Amino acid sequence: MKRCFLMICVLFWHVGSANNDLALQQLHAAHTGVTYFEARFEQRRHVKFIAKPLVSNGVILFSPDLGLVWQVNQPLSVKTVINQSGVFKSTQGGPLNKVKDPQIKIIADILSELLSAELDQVNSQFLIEPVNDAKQNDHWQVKLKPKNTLMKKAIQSIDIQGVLQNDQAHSIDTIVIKNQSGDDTVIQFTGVVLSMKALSEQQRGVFE
Amino acid sequence: MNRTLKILWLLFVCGMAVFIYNHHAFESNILKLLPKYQSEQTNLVVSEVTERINKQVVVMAEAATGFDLRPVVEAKAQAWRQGGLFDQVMDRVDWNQWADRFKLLDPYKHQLLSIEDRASWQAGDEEAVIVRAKERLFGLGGFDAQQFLNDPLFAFERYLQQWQSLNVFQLNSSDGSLSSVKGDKQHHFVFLTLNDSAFSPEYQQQVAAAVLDLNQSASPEVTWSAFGAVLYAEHAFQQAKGEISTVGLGSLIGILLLFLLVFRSVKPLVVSISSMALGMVVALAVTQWAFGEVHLFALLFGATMTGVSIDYCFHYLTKAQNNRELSGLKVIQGIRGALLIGFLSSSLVYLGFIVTGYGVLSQVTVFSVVGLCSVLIQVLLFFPDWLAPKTSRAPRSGLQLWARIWTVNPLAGVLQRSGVMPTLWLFLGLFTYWVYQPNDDVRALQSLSPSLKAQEQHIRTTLNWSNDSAYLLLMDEDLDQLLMKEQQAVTKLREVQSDLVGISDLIPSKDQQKKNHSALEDLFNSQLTETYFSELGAQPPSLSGWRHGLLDLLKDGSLGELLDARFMGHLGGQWSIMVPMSQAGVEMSWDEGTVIQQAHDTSQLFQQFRIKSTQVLLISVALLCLLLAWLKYGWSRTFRLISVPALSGLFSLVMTQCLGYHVSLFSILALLLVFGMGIDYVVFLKESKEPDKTMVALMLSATTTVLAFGLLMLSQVAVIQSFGFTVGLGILMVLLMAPSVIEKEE
Repeated sequence: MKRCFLMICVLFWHVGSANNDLALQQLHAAHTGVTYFEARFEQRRHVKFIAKPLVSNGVILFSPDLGLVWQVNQPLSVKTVINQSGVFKSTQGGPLNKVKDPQIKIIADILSELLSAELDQVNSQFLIEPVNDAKQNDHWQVKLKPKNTLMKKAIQSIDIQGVLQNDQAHSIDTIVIKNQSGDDTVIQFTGVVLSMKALSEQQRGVFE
Repeated sequence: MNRTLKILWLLFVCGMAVFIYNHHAFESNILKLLPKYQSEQTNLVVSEVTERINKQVVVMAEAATGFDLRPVVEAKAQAWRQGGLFDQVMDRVDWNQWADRFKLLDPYKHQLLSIEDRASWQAGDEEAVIVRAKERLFGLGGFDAQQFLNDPLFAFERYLQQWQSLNVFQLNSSDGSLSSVKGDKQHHFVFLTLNDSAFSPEYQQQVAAAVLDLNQSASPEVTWSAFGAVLYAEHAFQQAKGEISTVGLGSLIGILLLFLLVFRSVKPLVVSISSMALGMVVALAVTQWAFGEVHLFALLFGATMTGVSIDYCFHYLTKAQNNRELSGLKVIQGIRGALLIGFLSSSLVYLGFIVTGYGVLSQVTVFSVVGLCSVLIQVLLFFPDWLAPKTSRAPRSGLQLWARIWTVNPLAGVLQRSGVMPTLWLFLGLFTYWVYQPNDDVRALQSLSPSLKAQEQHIRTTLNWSNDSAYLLLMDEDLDQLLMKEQQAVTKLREVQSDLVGISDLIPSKDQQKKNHSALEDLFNSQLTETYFSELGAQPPSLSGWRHGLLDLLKDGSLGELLDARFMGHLGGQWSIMVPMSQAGVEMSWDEGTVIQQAHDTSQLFQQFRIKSTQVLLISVALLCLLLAWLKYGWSRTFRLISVPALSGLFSLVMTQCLGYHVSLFSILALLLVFGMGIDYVVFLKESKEPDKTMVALMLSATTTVLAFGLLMLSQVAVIQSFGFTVGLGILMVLLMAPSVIEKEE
């Protein structure tokens, strides 16, 4: 039972970042100068006591300057905007309202740091274990293991897998979060767009 | 008879000395100086809140982001823990403790709802609760199976998330430490709780040494900042010590030189100072007996009565010096009437201040009147024997010449002309009305160290921590009733403070718990929930029954310090909660509870006391006018007598205002002093058959007063500076105008 409440305590964190493992360094090198990241995602969650997998899909948008947008389209419409001002949420097309949801902030922080080139500026919360035999089929893979005791009680590992381009890590295509109770969450990105151009007014509007 | 009186008096003084030696209780806490709220219960809670705040010190370490700051801060925190100066040293979050406390709430989870879920239920929009649960299942963020099993609608999780609103700061505590990153700088914080009073001088110094010397002792890459009441208090104490030394030493040297120069003997000095010292002992003892304690501030202001009482000594000494052929008794008989009228006039004005109801002013009044009376008694009883006229040295002719010239000064001559005094009254009255702009801001009572202020500002900016401090204080004998009151107040406040979370949102009243339970029961039994579980392929859990005992967690302190900033516990037979308010909240009307804005409220109370004191001063002067006119001098002479100190004070006040000094309640105190001393001057002159010689005594007295009060202008504290200026200039003006009363007579 206490582990359950410790997990809720995790909600109160603002998580730091990952480490500078080679593959991640390459990923960040690839993302240096990127002003805009867009992809479609599918999130598939397997939870004990829930017979059916929890599947959702939508669009992720990221700009180092403007923050992150996680737009779930199915099975319900939820837009979440995370920026320096906080977390804002809109349900079923309604107005964006500021919410206090540190759990979302945690995940958004991890995603933002993976997608940004500022990894060297944040403290490491994870041990990085490269998965060497993963360089197959033009893919790279690393495993993040939480360092501190409390986080270990909540998360077993985060596996990050991406595409190799000219033998260099190019982009993330799968994130697998495993927790200690054996549940896992798999997030898959498709249709990745990386842009180094200044954002158009329309693109900027999505973040507001 | 005279001998018996002397013995009785000496026995009385000895008794007072023994009493004060055994019972002295000096209060140095500046907060005790502040006027109080009318309700004792409010005072009790406000002082508890202030005490809690005053015991906190925030320390911030800053370094470039690449620097490994955490070990440096941890080492320092460990040193503080071992140093034993602090009750608590918090440099990290104990998540296990948080989890333990949340576990205590788990049995009551079906009686607890978040604000938004409650609002949805009240609006009949139960579907919104299901949508929120789905957002959690399908949105960003994680949960595990156990959590789902325990709280399948995530309603309890949403409720628990409200607890983070109690955290004033948005800190990164992912690694357990309390840190934040801004630009290329990282910051680590340590929160210290004192284990003694922030106003204990010895303890202050130890804390300041431990906290403020960080920049010298720690690694050069790290910049430390700190703030807390104890650091400001330590700075103020050191500053006051320095100022008291300057003023005390300066006055002492000046008075010594003056006595030696004029009387050319140490004996008058020793007897006069002893007399004033014994007068202070009696004054201190009576004040202590009357009030149970003496505030150092009252002592400081009360001690200014030495400036008045030295007049009695000078008056006797100069009279004796000029009449060396007379006996001491003859000398005293010659001046007794003037001394008594002077004393009674000053006392009447002082006594008026008791009716203001401001404790410190009452202490000042009692101290001053008793002190003056004691010195007067000693002058009457002992001076004729101890300072017999025949032992005096001949007066200095130069000084007498000066006094003679002074008595015919042009201003005094002009004032004697018919119609000048009333014109001056009219002109000064109108001018005062035009320029008078008092400032009752309580913060002028202290001068904050610029360095400490800069550190506080830096920490506040980093933590995004505003300095607003308005609260709604709610109290009730019954905790459940109090929570209901708070819920109503918080609901009203949310109209202007949408993100406000009340204690009653975290620990609801029994009535609200029942409503919450009923709402969840309805939801669990609804078709919506059945569909939700069937879509997921999960079993719906059963709802637990209603349980008593949640309020006990508040009562017995099981939730620890989580609620300390808001929940004041059981004080004086009442439970109390402080609800933080924005300015918009303050402006709403509140029938229930008391709006507390301590700095603002105290400034307002100062304003009330200033207005009341001014009224009292005016009434006292009017009363004195009536008495003097009726009993002794008649209307015309009384008008002239009173006008000299009154116009001097008014002129001094106008100049204080025009030169940009701080005008406040303490300026009225300064006027009181000018009037008290000034009335002595004019009465002495009026009663004297040898005004030139009396003028010597007044000049000596004025010199010591101007010296002592003039030195107060060196103070860093605005009110003290202003007080020194008003009294110094006022007395100079009295001295300049006083001869107008004798010329008229002759």
